[in-house]
Amino acid sequence: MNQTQKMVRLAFFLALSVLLHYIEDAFIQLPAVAPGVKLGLANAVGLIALYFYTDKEFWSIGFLRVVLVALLRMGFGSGFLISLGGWLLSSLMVSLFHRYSKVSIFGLSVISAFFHGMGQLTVVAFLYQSIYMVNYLPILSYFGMVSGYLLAMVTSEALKRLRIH
Amino acid sequence: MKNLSLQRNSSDITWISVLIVLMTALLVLNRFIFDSSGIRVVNIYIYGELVETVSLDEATTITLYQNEYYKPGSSTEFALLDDVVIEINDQQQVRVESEESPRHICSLQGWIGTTGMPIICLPNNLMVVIEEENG
Repeated sequence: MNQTQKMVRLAFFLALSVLLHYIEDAFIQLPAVAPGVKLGLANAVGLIALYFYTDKEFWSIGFLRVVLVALLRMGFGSGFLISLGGWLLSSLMVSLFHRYSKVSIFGLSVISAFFHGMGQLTVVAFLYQSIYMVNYLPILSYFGMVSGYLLAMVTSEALKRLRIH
Repeated sequence: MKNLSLQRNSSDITWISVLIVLMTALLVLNRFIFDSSGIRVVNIYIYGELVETVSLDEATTITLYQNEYYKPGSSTEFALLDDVVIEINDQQQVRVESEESPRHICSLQGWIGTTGMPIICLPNNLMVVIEEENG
């Protein structure tokens, strides 16, 4: 694969992740069992990037998505910091588990969702100087793990059918 | 860099189980830590500062007026996007009844009766939480 092809594909993946984030934000309303509960559709694109490329591309797509969503919709306030915290912790843990364990896309997707929620809550706890956030961690985690697993099912089926190498 | 496998394996089950066990332990632990037998009150925080304490024992409605709360270090920028109405019912539960925010997450969250389970409203920099009095 030449560099231009790779660049075009990565740009496409990035656009797709921003679009999925937007669709989820605008159209998918989940029961508000806890603040921040969401499906995390955009994380599927990160896993696809990790499948085709390496850690470097996985980190780049995730970071650029967080920045682009902030530029296009949220601004660079507390929402941006929370997204950044979620992305940072989940990407770190996904990279570590991908490198040092034998987990498949299913394990990685669950780990990604789990630590995304934990990273977000950590930032909120710092912003509000409140330990109470720890009460939401189990709820967010259970929900995140279920959605992470379902997302892995969809992503793995999509990857089996994609014809790009 | 190794390839990402698309097939479930035993390592997935092990790690997912570890996370589930950890979170269940945390859930149980939280019940013990935040369980309270004393007098409970509703504390309202803006930017992490306690601005109001209200008894949980009687049903009431509290309105936080936008023009009474400012961002720290500013005398012109409001902390709240609009007035916020907080309601306490006769079952010792609290909710954010109405607020202005893009997604209304905190008002959609509904009634909360558990000690230490905060209602967070990020766009309004607001946290409402049931705590033990003087705790």
